[in-house]
Amino acid sequence: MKLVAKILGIFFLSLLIGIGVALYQLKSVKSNNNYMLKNGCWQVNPKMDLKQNDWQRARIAIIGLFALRESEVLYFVASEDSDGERLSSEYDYELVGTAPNARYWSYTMYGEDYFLVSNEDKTYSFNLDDLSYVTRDTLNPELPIDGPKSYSIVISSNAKEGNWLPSGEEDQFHILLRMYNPAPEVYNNLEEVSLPIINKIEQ
Amino acid sequence: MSSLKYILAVVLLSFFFHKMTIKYTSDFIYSKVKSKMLAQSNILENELRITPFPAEDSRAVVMPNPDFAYVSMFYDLDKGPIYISGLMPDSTYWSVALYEANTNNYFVKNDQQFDTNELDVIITTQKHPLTKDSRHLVGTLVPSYYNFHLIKEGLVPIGTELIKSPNEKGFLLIRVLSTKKSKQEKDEIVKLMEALQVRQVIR
Repeated sequence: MKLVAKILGIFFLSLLIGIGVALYQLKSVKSNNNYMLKNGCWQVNPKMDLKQNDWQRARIAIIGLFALRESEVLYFVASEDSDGERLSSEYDYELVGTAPNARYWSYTMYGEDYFLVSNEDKTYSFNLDDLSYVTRDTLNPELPIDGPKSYSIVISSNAKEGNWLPSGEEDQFHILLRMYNPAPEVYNNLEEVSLPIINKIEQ
Repeated sequence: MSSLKYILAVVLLSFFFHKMTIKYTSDFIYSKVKSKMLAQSNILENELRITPFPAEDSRAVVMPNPDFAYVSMFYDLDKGPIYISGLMPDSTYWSVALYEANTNNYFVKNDQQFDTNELDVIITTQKHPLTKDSRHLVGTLVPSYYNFHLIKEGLVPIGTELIKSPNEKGFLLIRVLSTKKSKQEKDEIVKLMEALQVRQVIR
């Protein structure tokens, strides 16, 4: 009787530890860095192997179920600002960048649970067509004339003028930059290609 | 000595459960999402579900893109191949993606890779006679002349392309992009999606 109890104890303890550790690792951003390339505050998976790599398949199922392979889309995710601090609705941020070289691109705000963030304005993202771009002769005279278009997005839980991406009330949020059919130069320079900075706005 | 034995048993068993959790997390999430989506839309396998431009209340699949109208279907090829047809928009990005039940994206093709905006595809498996030819690789399109017997029998039109699924069960996801905030454009896309047809090809 004692032996049965011991065996059952070992079984359930192992089950708890095995599943618990696996789920903790899968949900932890840091434990997934092995598969990701870093470019500023952005991380991208250069080779999504969902066929044979159990780890990647599990991780993607949790944070991006039904993602497309990297030959079609590159997903750059930012969970920290450019100073390496967690993105949180407690603060306001400014995302400043230039237009990526891709057929379609967009920035989408996701909450801690990876769903769209609830807000009265019903604004969840900005894409290449609905962003207001910065003009060279007003706010940023040093911008090159022929360079890619520039823009600035304010991320805040309070309403702002211009490109405002509401951050709701999230302890942590994530910004996803999608690039559909990016140019070959993007694939070849994933760690160096120009991506926006996300700076905390001092209150 | 005896307690060392128990500790070793816990370590080994925990390692096993850890491995199993990583391996089957994606299958588990897929099956939960499948049940949820079918129940929410009150549809069955091999029926199309339309999710027009997700908002904060779209909580079936993580990280939805608010710029996309989605058409999805959990397919089951047990009784025969599935034939999908309809007209797609002619001036925006759209793609057809297929996933295994473990969430691996085994096929994707976008509007620029299709010859026309008339969608005519068959999803089939190894077990159906029309795919016995060894040149039919999983996740690849087969030119229409391999489907000559189906065309001859009037089951599918000329030009139909065939995609071989690695398993009988899987998931189809069609994405259609609208980057502008125009309600009219979005309504037109949804109208086209609602007109898509799906049927089983039973000979």
